[in-house]
Amino acid sequence: MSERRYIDVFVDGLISYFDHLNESFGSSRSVISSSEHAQRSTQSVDLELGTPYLLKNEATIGMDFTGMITVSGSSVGTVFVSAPRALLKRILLSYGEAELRDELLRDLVGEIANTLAGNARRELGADFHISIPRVIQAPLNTKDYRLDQHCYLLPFRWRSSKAELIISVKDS
Amino acid sequence: MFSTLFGKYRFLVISIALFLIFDLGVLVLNFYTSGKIAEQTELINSAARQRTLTQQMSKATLYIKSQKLQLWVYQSGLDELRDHYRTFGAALQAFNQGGTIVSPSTGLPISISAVSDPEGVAILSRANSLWSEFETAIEPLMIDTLVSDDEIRPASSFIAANNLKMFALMDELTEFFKATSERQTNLLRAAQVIGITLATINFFIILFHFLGQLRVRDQEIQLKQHESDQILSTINEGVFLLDRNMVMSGQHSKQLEKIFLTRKVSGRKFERFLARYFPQKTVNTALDFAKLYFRDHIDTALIEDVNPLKRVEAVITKKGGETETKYLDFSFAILSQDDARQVVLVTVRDVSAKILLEAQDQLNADELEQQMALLTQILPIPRTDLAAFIDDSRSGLDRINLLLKDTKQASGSYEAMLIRIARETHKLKGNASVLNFEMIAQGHHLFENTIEEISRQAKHRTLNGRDFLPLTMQLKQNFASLNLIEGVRDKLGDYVDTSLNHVTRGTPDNRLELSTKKSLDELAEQNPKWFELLAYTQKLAAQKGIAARLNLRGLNTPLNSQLSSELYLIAVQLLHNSLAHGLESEEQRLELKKPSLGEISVSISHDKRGNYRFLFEDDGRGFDYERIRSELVDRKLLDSREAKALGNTALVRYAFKDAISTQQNVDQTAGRGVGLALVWQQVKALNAKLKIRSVSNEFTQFIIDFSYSPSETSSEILDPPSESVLLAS
Repeated sequence: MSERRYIDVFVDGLISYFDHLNESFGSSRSVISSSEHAQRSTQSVDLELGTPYLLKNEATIGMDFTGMITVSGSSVGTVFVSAPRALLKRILLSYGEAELRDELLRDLVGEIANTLAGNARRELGADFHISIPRVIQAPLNTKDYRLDQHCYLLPFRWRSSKAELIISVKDS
Repeated sequence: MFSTLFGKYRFLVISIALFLIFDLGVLVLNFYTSGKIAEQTELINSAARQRTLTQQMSKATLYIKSQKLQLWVYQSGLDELRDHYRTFGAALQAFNQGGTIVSPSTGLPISISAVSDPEGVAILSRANSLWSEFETAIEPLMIDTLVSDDEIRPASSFIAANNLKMFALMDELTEFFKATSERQTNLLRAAQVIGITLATINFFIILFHFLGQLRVRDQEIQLKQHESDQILSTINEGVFLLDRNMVMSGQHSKQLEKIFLTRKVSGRKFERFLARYFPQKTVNTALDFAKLYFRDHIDTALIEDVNPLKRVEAVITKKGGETETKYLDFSFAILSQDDARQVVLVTVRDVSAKILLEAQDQLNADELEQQMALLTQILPIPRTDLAAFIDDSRSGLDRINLLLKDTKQASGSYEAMLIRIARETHKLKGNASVLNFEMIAQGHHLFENTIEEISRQAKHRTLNGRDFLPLTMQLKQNFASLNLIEGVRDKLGDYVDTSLNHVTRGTPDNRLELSTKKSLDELAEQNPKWFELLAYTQKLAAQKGIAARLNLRGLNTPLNSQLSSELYLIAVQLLHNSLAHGLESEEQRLELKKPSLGEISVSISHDKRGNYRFLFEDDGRGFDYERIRSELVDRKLLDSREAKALGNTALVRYAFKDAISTQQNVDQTAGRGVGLALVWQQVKALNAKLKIRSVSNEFTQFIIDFSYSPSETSSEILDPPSESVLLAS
C-alpha cells in the first residue's frame, strides 16, 4: 500500500472529525481554500490544511497535548496529533463543556486520535492494527519513537488555532 | 487393567481385605456369642424359675393340705401344684436332653440344648435323682381332681423336707449357667478386643503405609512438577496442551507468556485466546486445523505438511496500549495421556527475528544492488567534491523543506513558494547531473514535474495544503536517495580519493584546447569539480546528439571554494542552456559552415584587486528572440502586439524570468525555463553585472563582472528585480 494512501486516510480522518464538529456550528464543509477562508474569516470555524513538510527524526515536536497511535500489522509506524490548549478548549466549548481542565483536554486529544485510528482501521482493513491512543503532555523527541528518518508533518488550523498531524507509517 | 490396578494397589487391597476380615470375624463372633449369651440367659432364667417352682410346689402342697383339713376347697392349689410340677419336669428334662420350654421372660417357647458341661451334668444328675423322688411323692396328686389325705400328707411331708434341697440344686444350676454365661461374655469381649485391636492395627498400617506412599508420591509429583516447571520456564518455545474441547491446559511454558505478553493462558478456550491476536480468518483456520488432530485415522505427519499456521502475523498489545507485530509458527503433535485421553501438544515459535532478517537480507540485497550502481558513479568523484555535493544537496533539500514549512496559506504565497522551490531544485539537479548522479538528478526531475503539475492545478483552482503532499513525498524520496549516496560514501572511506584521481587523471584527453597533460593535472588538482564538467559536457552533448567541447581557462589555480560554488552553479546552468538551445547539431553546423564541433568556453579572470570577470560563451545559434516572443504570447504574459514591440534586450530580460524556455520539450537538463532565472539569482547574489552578447547563428556570450571578497557574498535566495543591470547586445 502506498505511503500516500496512509497519509490520505489519516487526513480524511482529521477532516471527518472536524466535519462532525462543524456540524454543531452549522458549517457545511471542513476544508476550504485560502480565498474562501479570506471571505469567511469572520466565521473562522473551518479546518484549513497547511503545506505538509518533513520532520527529521531528531526533532522535538509536539504542542501542549499530543495524542499518539501506533500502527502495526501490514504497516508499521506512529501517528501523532498535537494541539495547543487554545484549540482544544475551543473544541470543548463547541461541545458545550463549561469546564476546561487539563484532564478534559487530554481526553479530547485522545478522542481526536481515536477518531483517526477508527477511520484508518475502517478504511485500511483488518490487517491494519492500531493501538489504543496514548496522550502525552510534553514535548516529544521524535527519535524516542523509532520514526522514519523523515516523517510528515501536516499543519492544520481550526478557528485560527494551529495544530499538527505527524505521520510516520510505512509497509512492514 | 484389573491386574495392573491390583498389582499397583496390591498392598491396599490386602490391607483392606484384612481389615474387613477382622471386622467380620468380630462381627460373626459377636453374633454367635450374643446368641449363646441369650440362650444362656434363658437357661439362667429357667434355672431360676426352677428354684421358684420348687418353692411354689411346696407352698401349693401345704395349701392343699391346710384347705383339706378345714374341708375347704383346695382345687386351685391342686391346679397350681400340677402346673408347677409339669413345668418343672419339662424344664428339667430339657436341661437333660434338650428340647422346647416356655421362656420365663417372654412366655414364648424356646429351644434349648442339653447341658453338656460335666459340672452342669453333675448338678443335673443330682437334681434328676431328687426329682424322681419328687415325682414319686407328687404323682398320686396328679391323677384325680380329688386327693385323699393319704395322697397329700406324704407328698406334703416329702416336699417340705426336700424342697430346700431341690431349691439349692436349682440355685446351683442357676449359678452354673451364670458362670457359663460369664465365661462366654468374657470370651466375646476378648474376641472383640482382639478383633478390634487387629483391625485398628491394620488400619494404622494402612494409614501409615498410605501416608508414606502419599508423601513419596507427592514428592515425586512435586519433583516432576518442579522438573516440568523448570523445563517449561527455560524452554525457548511457547508450549501448551490442547484438549479435545479446544481448551488450553493448566501447564504451559513461560515463553508462551512472553510471546503473547499475557499470563491468562490456563483453562482458556483456544478460540478466544487466538482471537485477541489474530484476524478471525486465521483463528478459524487454526481451530479447524487443530481439530484435525483429534480425528481418527489421521496421519499427523501428512497434515503437518499442510499446516497453514506458519509465519502467521500476530498483533500483540503491550501494557501501554502499544502494539507489536510478531510472526509465529504453530506446530501440533498428538499425545496420549495415562488415562488414554488424547491431547494436542501445541508449540509456538516466534520467528519474527528470522522473518525480519530475511526481509532485511532482501532489503540489503536491493540496497547492495543500488549501492553497486551508485559505486560506479561515486568512484570517479573526488572525496571533497562528493562531500561538497552531499552537503550542498542536503542544504538545498533542507531549504526546500523550510520553504514548504514557512509557506503561508494564501494562493500568492503558494505561487511564490513554488517558484523558489523550482529554482532550488534546478540548482540541485544541475549539480547532480554534472556529477553523473542519475538517480539524484532523476529524483529532482520528478520533483520538478510535480511542481509543474501543482502549478497547472493552480491555474484552474485554488490550492490547499493537501495539494502539496506529492511534493513533500518526492522530497522525502530525494532525501532518501541522498542518504543512500552518503551511506555508500561512508562505506568507501578514503578509497574514493585514491581511485578517483587515478581514474580522472588517467583519462586521455582530446577535449580541451589547453589540454596539455600538465594543465589537466593542475585543473583536476586545483578545481576537481570544474574538471568534471569536461566529461559532463561530452556526456550531455552525446545525449542530445551534438558534438561539443568545453574549454576552461583560469581554473588551474586554486579558487575560493565559496566563489567556486557560486560560479560553478552559473556555469552549469549556462552549460545546460548552451547544450539545450545554443549549439546546433553537426549537420546544422556544417550547413552554416561552422566546425562540426561546437565550442563552449568558460574563463575566470581577475585583476588581483578583487575584481573578477566570469565569461561564458558558445558558438551556437545565439538567442532565439522569436521563440521568446511566441512563448510570452503562448503563456499569455503578453499579447502578440506587445511581444512584437519588445526589443532584444527586453526579450532577454524575460528569458531570465521564471519559466520562459525556448526548448519545446522538457528533459532532465532544460525546458522548464528555470536555468536562466537561477543564473540571474546567482548574479544578484554576487552583486554582479551581467552583460549578454548574442549574434544569431554565431555566438552567445555571458559576461559577469563583480568584485569579490569572501565575506561579501550571500547565499540568500533573491527574486529577480524588475530593474536589472542586465545588458544585452
